[in-house]
Amino acid sequence: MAKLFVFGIGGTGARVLRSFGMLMAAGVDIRCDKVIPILIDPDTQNADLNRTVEMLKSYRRLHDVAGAKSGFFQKDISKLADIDQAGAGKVKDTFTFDFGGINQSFKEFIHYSEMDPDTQSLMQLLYTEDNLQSPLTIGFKGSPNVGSVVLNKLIDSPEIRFFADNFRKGDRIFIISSIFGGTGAAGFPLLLKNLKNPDSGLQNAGDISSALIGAITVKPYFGLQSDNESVIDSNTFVTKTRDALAYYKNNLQGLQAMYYIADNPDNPYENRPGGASQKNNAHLVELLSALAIIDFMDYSDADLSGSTLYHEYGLKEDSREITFEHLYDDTKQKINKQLVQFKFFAKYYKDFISQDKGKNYFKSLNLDDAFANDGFHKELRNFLENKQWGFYAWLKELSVNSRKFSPFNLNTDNLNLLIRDKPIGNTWLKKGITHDGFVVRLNKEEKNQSEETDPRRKFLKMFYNVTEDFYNNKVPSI
Amino acid sequence: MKNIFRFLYELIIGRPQPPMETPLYRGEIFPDVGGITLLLVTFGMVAFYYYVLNHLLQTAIFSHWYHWLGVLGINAIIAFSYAVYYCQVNEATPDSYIYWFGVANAFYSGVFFLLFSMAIKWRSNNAAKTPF
Repeated sequence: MAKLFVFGIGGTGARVLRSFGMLMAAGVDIRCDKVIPILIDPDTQNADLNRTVEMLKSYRRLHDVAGAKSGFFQKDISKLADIDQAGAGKVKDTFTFDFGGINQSFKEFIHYSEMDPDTQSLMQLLYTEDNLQSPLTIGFKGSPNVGSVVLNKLIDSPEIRFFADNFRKGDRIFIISSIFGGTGAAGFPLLLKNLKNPDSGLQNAGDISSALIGAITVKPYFGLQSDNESVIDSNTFVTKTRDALAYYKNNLQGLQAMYYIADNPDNPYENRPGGASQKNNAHLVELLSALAIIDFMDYSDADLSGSTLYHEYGLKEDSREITFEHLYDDTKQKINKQLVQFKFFAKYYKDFISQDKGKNYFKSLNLDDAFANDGFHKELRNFLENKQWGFYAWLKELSVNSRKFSPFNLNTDNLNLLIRDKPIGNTWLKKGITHDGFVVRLNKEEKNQSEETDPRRKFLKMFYNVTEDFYNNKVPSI
Repeated sequence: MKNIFRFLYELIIGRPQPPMETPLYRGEIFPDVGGITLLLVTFGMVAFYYYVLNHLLQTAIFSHWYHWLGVLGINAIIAFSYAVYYCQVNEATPDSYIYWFGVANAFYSGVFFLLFSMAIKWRSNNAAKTPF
């Protein structure tokens, strides 16, 4: 299998990749050897972007320990710099695209003052004064006409050249963008156009232009509070979407699969055009968008050889509060088992494991010492419990957003009630999941994993196998 | 085996008292009490702790060191009681030697409990690391 390059453009791209990272942490399978996310957003202070980057960095460190067979964190998510076989260090060692700090206004960027008066007049026709004066450090503030100019330089960047150098026949590309903002709406068609150009001048341009490319373009799914001070007005989202779709209809060439998703905006977000204050709660639409990446990789090369496949997402049942029950079987098969397993693992790790001192598996793995001194456990705790970007924060954000995605009861300590609306029966004849039962299974699993010499990998495998056993034998079908 | 038990008990409590009962102790009481309590009962208690309480019962609530120590204590009480009882049944002279013999038997039951634990605990699902 080959590599998958995922371009996440703008704030939505970053948020979708955050959900994608959580699914990968839970062990959701994707058919490729390696995923290489590349986040493209000139707004380097954007909180959504930085939360995703922190999460991906943490994931990467955990995967380095977990390897490819531990169940959780098993998929290799690498930075672009990691695939540099020559080790030349041509690009920054980060998940983000380096815009080199474009700390100038759009006016300065296009050298407005050096233009002749006629061209300046044309510019004034195409751009508002606010567009021209807008500093590019916080992105394009919902203006794709600005973004399309700035991002056109993307193709000349070291990152894209580096990506091209390391692209091999058989690798695939997936592009995530929103259609109603600035960066994503502008960046997606530009990026696609350049990738599909066999004469782009990039190394392996032929292989890249013939590569299988999928994309999701996220249509409006949230609104923004009205704010006279802000240049972004969510009332224009639909208009902008319609215009962009009209453009896409005639100008998007060479896509093998195109995914669309949208939702009725409800409960508007605070109106933050960018920067550190743009921190939107995780949303179900972003999670479902992440599934598009997995779905795209499920198709064989032959399946994608015909005309473009178009997909839209639909819920089995409309509700403002979504649980597993509201998803179609196809989605459930992809995520239910893994998310339930990971949730059981996270819950046990957070609330129960500290009570297991003296238990067999705890002593065998020397966990008392490991919790205090092993960086792996500090990293794991951070991944699960970080209040900004961790797994629990992600679940919490999903459950309070609108529409809500709340498949788990986040406030219960009863393991049998963890899955919302699907209590696990606990009778004398058939026991449910208890703390003691968990310990017994962990003890047994610790013995079964005697061939695994790395205690950290063994730890993950044990929990994966135990939670899998619980899912298969105790959890009612969902 | 007789000589081993004789050696063990007399190492702690000295020769049987009164001396005329030495053949009774060395010939019957030491080997019988030692064989039953130190070997059979103690092994049974260890097996019960590791493979009934901490394996077959499918619970890990008894796997702490203090549970192990509790079973060891019960075994020591059994060892003490049985030693005293067996002396009385065999009409040994009722003096303090009987009780010192009981104490020695209880002590050795603890030692044997530890040795048997080390030998068989590794297959126990929930207590393979108990007491250490």
